[in-house]
Amino acid sequence: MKFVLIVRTNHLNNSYSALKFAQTALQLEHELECIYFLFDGAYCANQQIDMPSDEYSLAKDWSDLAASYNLTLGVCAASSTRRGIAPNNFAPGFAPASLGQLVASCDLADRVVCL
Amino acid sequence: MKKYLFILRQAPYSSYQNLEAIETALALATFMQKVSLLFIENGVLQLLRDQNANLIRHKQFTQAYAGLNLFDIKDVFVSNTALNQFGLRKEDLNSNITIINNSQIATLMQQNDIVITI
Repeated sequence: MKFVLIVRTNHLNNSYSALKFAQTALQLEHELECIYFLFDGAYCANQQIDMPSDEYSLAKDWSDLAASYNLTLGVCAASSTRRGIAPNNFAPGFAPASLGQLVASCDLADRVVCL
Repeated sequence: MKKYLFILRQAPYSSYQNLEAIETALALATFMQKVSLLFIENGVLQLLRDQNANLIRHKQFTQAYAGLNLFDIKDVFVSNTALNQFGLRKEDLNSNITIINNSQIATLMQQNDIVITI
């Protein structure tokens, strides 16, 4: 099945569910047409987040996922600008993406999941 | 073309995502997508008339709900249950909003392809 995943929760607040969903869908050989970071989801892209060593770092997990499956992690430009996260501050794998790109991906998807 | 339903369940200025959601809904409508809005729980407070968010240094965005038909967003719904919980009547709200009950909400969710809950 073809999925689009919209992540609208920040890195401290439940976006682990979104990460786990993406990992599991890919492991089960579903297709992820697009992963789009919208609203507070844009925080996940910030490479300057420096979590204490005994805590999980979701930004790194997202980058690892993007590298293993050759995915682009699209970040809504309006959302990231409002939160002070410029593209040169994005962690590896993240790139600015327009709402138009999201709409085009949603058109191709069988299911759109928003977490 | 897909059908998008935004479900807004937070009080208007409790989170910036409310403003961003309406901004996104309007943008999707300009991409010729079918967009509907549903207000439930605390979200009904977004529909109250005569708000002045400038007093709390927040952009006043809720007046946009009165002009949604300019963007071809004609389906704007509010939960009957939530209105009753806050003791609100139709006259208290911005215009052009349809009041629906819980079973109609279930139908609405089934009719849309993409549901984004804020």
